[in-house]
Amino acid sequence: MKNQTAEIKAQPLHSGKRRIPVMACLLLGTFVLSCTCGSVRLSFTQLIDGVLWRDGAENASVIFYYLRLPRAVAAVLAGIGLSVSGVLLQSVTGNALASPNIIGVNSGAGFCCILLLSFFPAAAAALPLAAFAGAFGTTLLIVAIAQRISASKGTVILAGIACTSVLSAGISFLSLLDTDVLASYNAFSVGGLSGVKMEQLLLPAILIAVCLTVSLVLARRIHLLCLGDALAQALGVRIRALRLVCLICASACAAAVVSFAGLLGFVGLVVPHIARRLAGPATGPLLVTSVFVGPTLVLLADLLGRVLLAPTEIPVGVVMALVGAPFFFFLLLKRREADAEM
Amino acid sequence: MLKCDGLGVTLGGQILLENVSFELPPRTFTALIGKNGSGKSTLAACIRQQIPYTGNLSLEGASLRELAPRQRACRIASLPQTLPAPDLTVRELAGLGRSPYLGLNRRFSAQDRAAVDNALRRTEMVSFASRRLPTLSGGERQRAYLAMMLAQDADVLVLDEPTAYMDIHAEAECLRMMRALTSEGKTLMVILHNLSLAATYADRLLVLDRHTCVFAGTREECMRRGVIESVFNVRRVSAPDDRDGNILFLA
Repeated sequence: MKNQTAEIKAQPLHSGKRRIPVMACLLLGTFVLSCTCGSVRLSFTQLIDGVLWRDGAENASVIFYYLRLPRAVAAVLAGIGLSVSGVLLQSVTGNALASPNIIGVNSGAGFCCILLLSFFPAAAAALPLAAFAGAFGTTLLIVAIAQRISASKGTVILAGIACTSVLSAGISFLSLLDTDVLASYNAFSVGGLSGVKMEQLLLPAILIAVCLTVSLVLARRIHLLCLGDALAQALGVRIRALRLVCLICASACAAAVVSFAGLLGFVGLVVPHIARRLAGPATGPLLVTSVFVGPTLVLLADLLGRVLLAPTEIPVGVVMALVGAPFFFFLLLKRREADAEM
Repeated sequence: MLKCDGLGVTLGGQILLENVSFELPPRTFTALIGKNGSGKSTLAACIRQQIPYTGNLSLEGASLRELAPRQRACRIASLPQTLPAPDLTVRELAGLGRSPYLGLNRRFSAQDRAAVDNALRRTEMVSFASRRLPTLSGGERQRAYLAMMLAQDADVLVLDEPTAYMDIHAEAECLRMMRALTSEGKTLMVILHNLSLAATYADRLLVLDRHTCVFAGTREECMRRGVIESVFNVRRVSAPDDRDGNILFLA
């Protein structure tokens, strides 16, 4: 018995190391790098002068405040929003391949955008708003359908797939009617941070902050969902309500990102997997880790897109897909090896 | 006391339970037995409030429907039939049993840690504490979940086939541990398929047949009335050289 007690005391109740300071430094470093690199390269001193509006550094100030800072902040917000969305969706559906696309966020946003471009071509400035409305509206529809049936893991995914199919058919139909619309839609569907303004980011930032806070407060209950609905319920979780709150937060986060970055793929899928390898399966540490990993990844992808073929820019969505897909294969292979070792 | 009064469940037009009434007296070990499809797991799901039902289930006079989920979880712990193997250590899993007690900051108190340590000890899972669930055998995983349930420290424990996948010694040890829990103030309702073990270890038996309760009472009365023999179409035999009073049923 004494040995047993000693063994118990030696083991922490929660596993996982303190990686937050390292991840924070990495994110900060990438953020600074993102502000200095681009078609016009700024040295660190020029950047500081530009930030402080010093005399003689007006160009650097304009580049920093009007181009680089909004873009870097947008990348950070996109990284956080899509990662949180991915973590929540993967947790509540119990499906490691769930991402914002699966619950119809992207197709809903795309459909509303192409609808706007087809019928109100002069209102192109309202594209982010339309994207947000479409993404959020579609998710609410899926949540309503799922709630009416059972709000189970499977129902949510199936309802998402069904809605995505219908909306994709609508997108194809509208793009057949007008090829100019198709060209505008393509730019949006790839996803990018070019030309983002600070004013566009306020509402999405508030929305993402609220959803992240709610997710962190509910993290421990969300974690109980990994035990299955029956056990989670036996441990005092209101399954139906929790799943709905998580779905709404996930869609709101993704919709907020769609409104300024377009249909940015892969972040919501890949980041939770990387974070899970770093922080383990518990939802709280997973969310916190994702909040650092996601922005770092998007900042790096955006940076690569700007410098690889400068002055030509590769949209961040394209870089994410090019880098993200092989990286995801790598993760799957590593996981297969780990499973084989078990 | 957990009281079930006129419980009925109909899903998709099919009757799964009909007019089930019984009482679980405090500090007793009740084995819930019945043929496949008789409604045992459905009854456990009703106690968990997982499916809608008619009639009433109450604990100490308070309807289970009206208890808040966390309040209910502090008083009734339930282990379903199918248990997943998430990527958690045994200790982390046992820690999840303390979820209903954690405050807003979700931090573990000394009492929570002591409850987890005690649960690991009781289920003899201390040496497995840092093992991850996917690496455990079925029986070990079952014991890990039992540790989680003990850490939950509820007065009433409802277990659906908790000894499935356990070897014969682990099974007997597990049932002995459950019987010992009654002397610590716990009330147990355990779904068992092994009739001999149910009749040997339980104080009381609850027999379901064709979606309704045909017997609820002490083991002695059940044996005297030959309920098991008639419901399951089995015969009771005496084992040669048995000095422990084990009861055996043969098909």
